[in-house]
Order: sequence, then C-alpha cells, then structure tokens
Amino acid sequence: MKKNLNKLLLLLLTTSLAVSCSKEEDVEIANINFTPDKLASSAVDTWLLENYVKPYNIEVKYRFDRYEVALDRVLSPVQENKVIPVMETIKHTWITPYEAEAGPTFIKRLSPKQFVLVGSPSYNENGTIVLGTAEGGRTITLFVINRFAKTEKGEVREILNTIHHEFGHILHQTIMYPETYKSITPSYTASWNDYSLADARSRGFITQYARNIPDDDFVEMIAFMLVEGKEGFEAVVNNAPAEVRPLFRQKEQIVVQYFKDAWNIDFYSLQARTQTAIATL
Amino acid sequence: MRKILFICLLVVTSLTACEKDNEPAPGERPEERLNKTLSEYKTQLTAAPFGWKATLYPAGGGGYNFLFRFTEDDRVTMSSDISPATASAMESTYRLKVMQRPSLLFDTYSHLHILADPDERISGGVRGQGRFSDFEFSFTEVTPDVITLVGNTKGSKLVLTRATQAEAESYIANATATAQSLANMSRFTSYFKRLTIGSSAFDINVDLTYRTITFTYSEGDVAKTFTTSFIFSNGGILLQDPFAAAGVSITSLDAIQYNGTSNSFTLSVGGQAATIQEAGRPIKVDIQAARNFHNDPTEYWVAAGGFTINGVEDAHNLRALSNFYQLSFWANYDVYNNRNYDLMGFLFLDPTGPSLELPYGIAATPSFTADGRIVFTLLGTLGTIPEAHQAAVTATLQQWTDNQGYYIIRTNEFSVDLVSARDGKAWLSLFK
Repeated sequence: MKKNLNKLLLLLLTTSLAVSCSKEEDVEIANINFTPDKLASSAVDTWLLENYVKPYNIEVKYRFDRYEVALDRVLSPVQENKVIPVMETIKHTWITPYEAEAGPTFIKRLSPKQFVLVGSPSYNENGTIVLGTAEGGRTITLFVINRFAKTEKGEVREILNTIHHEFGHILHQTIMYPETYKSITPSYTASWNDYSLADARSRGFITQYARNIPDDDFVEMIAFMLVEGKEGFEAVVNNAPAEVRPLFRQKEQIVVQYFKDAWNIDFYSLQARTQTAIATL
Repeated sequence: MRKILFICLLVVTSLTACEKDNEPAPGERPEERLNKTLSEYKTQLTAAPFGWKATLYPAGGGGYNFLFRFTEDDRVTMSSDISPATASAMESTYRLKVMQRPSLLFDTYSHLHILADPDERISGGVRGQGRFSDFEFSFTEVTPDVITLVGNTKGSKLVLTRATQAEAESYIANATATAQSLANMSRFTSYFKRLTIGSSAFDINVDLTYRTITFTYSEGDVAKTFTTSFIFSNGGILLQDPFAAAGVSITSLDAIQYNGTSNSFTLSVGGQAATIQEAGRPIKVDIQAARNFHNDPTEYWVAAGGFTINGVEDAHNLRALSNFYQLSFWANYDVYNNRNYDLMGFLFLDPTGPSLELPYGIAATPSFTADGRIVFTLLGTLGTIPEAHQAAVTATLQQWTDNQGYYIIRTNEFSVDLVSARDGKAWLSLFK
C-alpha cells in the first residue's frame, strides 16, 4: 500500500508539474535588441527599397554600423551621394547581365542578401588595402566607395571585380568546381603580396591575389575574365611566357565548362554582356 | 503517514501553481529608460533653434570648430573651420543609439569625418589611422545648454554648446577669418617668433594646420617647451591646456591683428597688450642642445629637402634634382687626418630598382661654441657630383658651412631644426 501511495504521489506530482504552468508564452527574441534603430527614411532609402529590397530582397546598409565591420580598423562612412551611383552601377553591370543570361530567378536565389558600404579603404598592417570582403555568402562589404565615380572606369572595374570575386565564392560554395583546377598551378602561398603582378603572371596566376589559395584563384579568374573582357584576358595570356599560356587556357576552359555544367550559363556571352554594360554606363 | 503525504502533495501543488503575474519588478525596464533617454537627447539636439556650436579635440591633437544643426528626420547640417572648403555647410545623417552608452553617431560622411579618415591624403594623419579622431561619441554630461561627449574609439573630446542666432551666422566664418589672419605668420622670414607680453617673452611655434602651439621658455639654463592644441576663436586662439610657467598663465591669445607695415601681430593676453614679431635669435639658447644633437645615438638624420631660406622651402631646389630622395646627415661619418668628420649626404633613388644610392656628399668637421652653437668647417666633397647638380650642391655647401654656425632647436623627440645663427633666416629640419 505504501508503495502504491508513493506511486500515486509521484503521478500526482508529475501531473501537477505538467499542468501547473500552461500559460508559458513563447520566448520573444525580438526583445533582445533593447533599442532597435528607428531610422528615418530618406530619398536614398526609398531608391534602395524600390531597386534592391523589393525586387531582390537585398539590403544595402550604407549608414555606418560599427558592428558590421572589423572593430580594429579605422574606417570612414560613405558619402550619402555616392550610394545611388554605386548601386546603380552594380545593378547595371552585375545583376542585369546575369539576369539576361541565367534568367530572373538566378540573382534572387543566389545573391548575397546584404551589401555593406564603407567610404574609406580598409588598411592592412602590411600596407595593402582591402577592397571588399564577403561573409559566408550572406554579406558583401565594399570599401573605398567615397572615391567612386561612374566616369572612372578603373574604379568601376575595381568594385565590379570585388563583387564578381565574392559572388564567385558563393557560386563555388554552392556547387564546387572540379578538383583538377587546384593542381594546374600548385604554387599557392599566403605571402602572395610579396610578389609582383608580373611574377604572378609568369607562374600562371591571373592576379597576385589569385596565388593565395585555389578558391581565390578560381574566382579571380571569373572576375578578371568578366571585368576585363575577352580582350583583356587574351592580352594577359599572349604576354605570358609560352610555357605558361597552356596553364591559363586550362583554367579558362574549366571556368567556362563550370558555368555551363553547374549553372547552364554561356560564359562568353555573359562576358560580352558585362563588357557592354561597363561601356554603356 | 497518509496525512504527511497529503500535506506534501498540497505543498508541492501550491509551489508549482501558476504564477499569473508576469510583470517584472515595478518601475521602467532598462530598455524603456534607455529609449526615453535617447529620445530626450534627440529632442534637445533638434530643439535648439540655431543649432549647436561645437569644439572637437581629436585624440591625435589639434582643435576644430563646428556648427551643427540637427533635424528630427536624422539629418545634420554642419560647417567647420578644418579648411576653407569645410566652411560651407554639408548635410549628412546622424543617429542616436545605445552602444556601450547612449551615443551620437555621425553615420554618413561629412566634414567631421575628414579628421578620422584613414586615407592619410585626406586626413593629413597616419595611413590607416587618420588623425586619431572619432565620429561616434558617448554622452558624458548633459545640461540644457552644453553637451559633453567623448569619442567611442579614440577618446576625442566633443563639446556642443547651444548657439545664438548671431553665432549660427558667424561662428565658423569668424574662426576661418582668424585662421586667415594668422596665416600671415608665413610672411615672417625668420625662424623665431617672439611673443612679448609686458616684460615676459617667449618663442612660440604655431602650427596652423595641426592646430598646436609650442611655447619655449627657460628654467635656469635649460630651454623647455610646452605644447598644447588650440582652436580658433573669434579673433584669437583658445588653448586646450593653459600654459602656466615662467610667471604667466595663458589660456588664450585674443584680438590678434596683423600689421603689414611692421610685419608683426598685436594681440591681447589676459587683458594685457602683447606682440608677436620675428626674431633672429632664440630667446634662450640651450647650451647643451648642439652637443646632445651631435651625440644622439641615431645612425643618421634625414631632411626631406634642402635649406629653407627667407621663408622659401628647399631654396636650393634639391627636390628638383632627378631622382632626389633626401638629404641625410651623419655625425662622425668617418675619420680623416685623425679628425672625425660629419657628412651631409645626397641620397637618390636607384632608377633601375627599389634601392637608394649615396653618390656624393659634403664633409665637414663640427665644433661647438661656448654660447651653444654648432659650426661646420668644410673639409671637402666625397664622390662625384654630376655637372647638373653642381649649382645646388655648392649652394647647400656654402649654407651648411656658414662660419656663424647653427642653433639646434629640438622640435620634438624625433626631430630638430638647425637654425642659422647668422640671422635666423635659414634653417634645415631634420628627423630621425
């Protein structure tokens, strides 16, 4: 009997615990940000809403947010009047050619969901500067926006190069490029910046940074071929030592095949569209 | 036993019973208080009918004036006396946000950001650092008319003071006018600038770009200096830290006026009439300075160009020589006839690669006079001087070996100026 009573007690106890607080509400995590930004909307915000948020669900963060950038770097915010020209340029020379080539859902599906704009360069301790960074395919941070002008094609190409570079990472992180690419030029090094561009090219790397790791090599090839066009790429190959030219050709061929196989994109057509877009800015 | 068990059950049930009152402790919650504080600050900032005048002292030195006008829609219009270009108003955004503390963030670029720009060509500061200034500030003290803030990353000081209508119209213009008036100091062709207040006199050095002032005074036989940042006021300058030594206490120089005829300034210091004039000699010669300079353990000293003469920088046009890199001064470069000699070396970039060449230099033996000068006596030249360089080298040689020699003025820990003792109208700035 005593045993039974104990059992009964246990049962009652369990039941009473189970029913005691049925009013428990869901945890409301929105309250964790105690003081959310209540930002006033400006003409720039309206433009971004119509051109990036609504069609692509891409947020463009241009008002400086300390916690979106490296805390140990001295950086400047963007000049407000640079925001629309930069984002117009990106739309015209990056989104539109891809849409024309790969259909309207391609960018919507794969694009990073946030751009963060920073006015100044980000200076590394070794004196080099960072033009852009990407975080896990979600955010692309673009630096040096305050020097931007549509007429300065060199700067337009630099920004575009950054985007194509980072977007290239998203592509290969979604569908990996063939392993064979990594063994074409195996002399990758973390101290890539100690060597000149000419040195990099003489080893079959399209840029100095391409020598960092195979992933960077792959996306630098994509970025260079799209931004500098067929002509720019051919010039590099033709100026390279004879024994290096086949290496560039192998890389080119893998990139082109990758775009076809993985994304059903005609790379040369995309390249031509990108060039036309840059020329017609 | 059964009773005990039932009592237990009762107790347990009552313990676990539903507490329906979900309210936290009485009073406002932290986020409510913070949001209230932020909106109070915003109201205060936007309610000032003529905006706020402000002084910013970057952590890296100097002092700058601003006029801010904040509006409810997150926009701020500012003008500043950083340069003539920043006197015109520029509109950008701001926001109030809780960082570690309630903060005022200037979150798109405007005049204020120039000082913090890591691009050294814009800020005039250090590459990657700027002038060690801020554009995000925490509120530290708030009264109805004065708001004191401190920079969140570098610790710069920003003080906002409610402006009157007259100030809103003229605050920046007045400061800019003062800067232009003081720029007449560049008409002084002598190295030394003498501030005379009654019976007291000091050598001063005013850096109009970086907004610092240095007073040289003597304590016994030793020349001492005091340096502080300043901001331009209406007709004068306000020192960030007062200069208190040698029987004076100076917090500001007021009513500064340039007189073109006498090429001097009149001003008022603490209500007392004063003058600033150029001078050929230092007010007090530091007897040991020349020897200390020569004994300095640094390998060599560097001058970016040649001598400044009569106010003309690099008067012998060394920087125009093809591939010229710098002048380098070696104390005790080598020994000749049992005498140590110094070398003024001409360094050039190797046109074929990233290295430097020392193709020739001027050799001289140093001597030290009892009154604290260093005199260089020509020994000759070393190396081969190209014909095209001959005129510039000869002129530099004659200036350097002037038999009156030089006073050594230490400008900071890493730099000295060699100032001609003949008339104070020729000098060479060296750093290590």
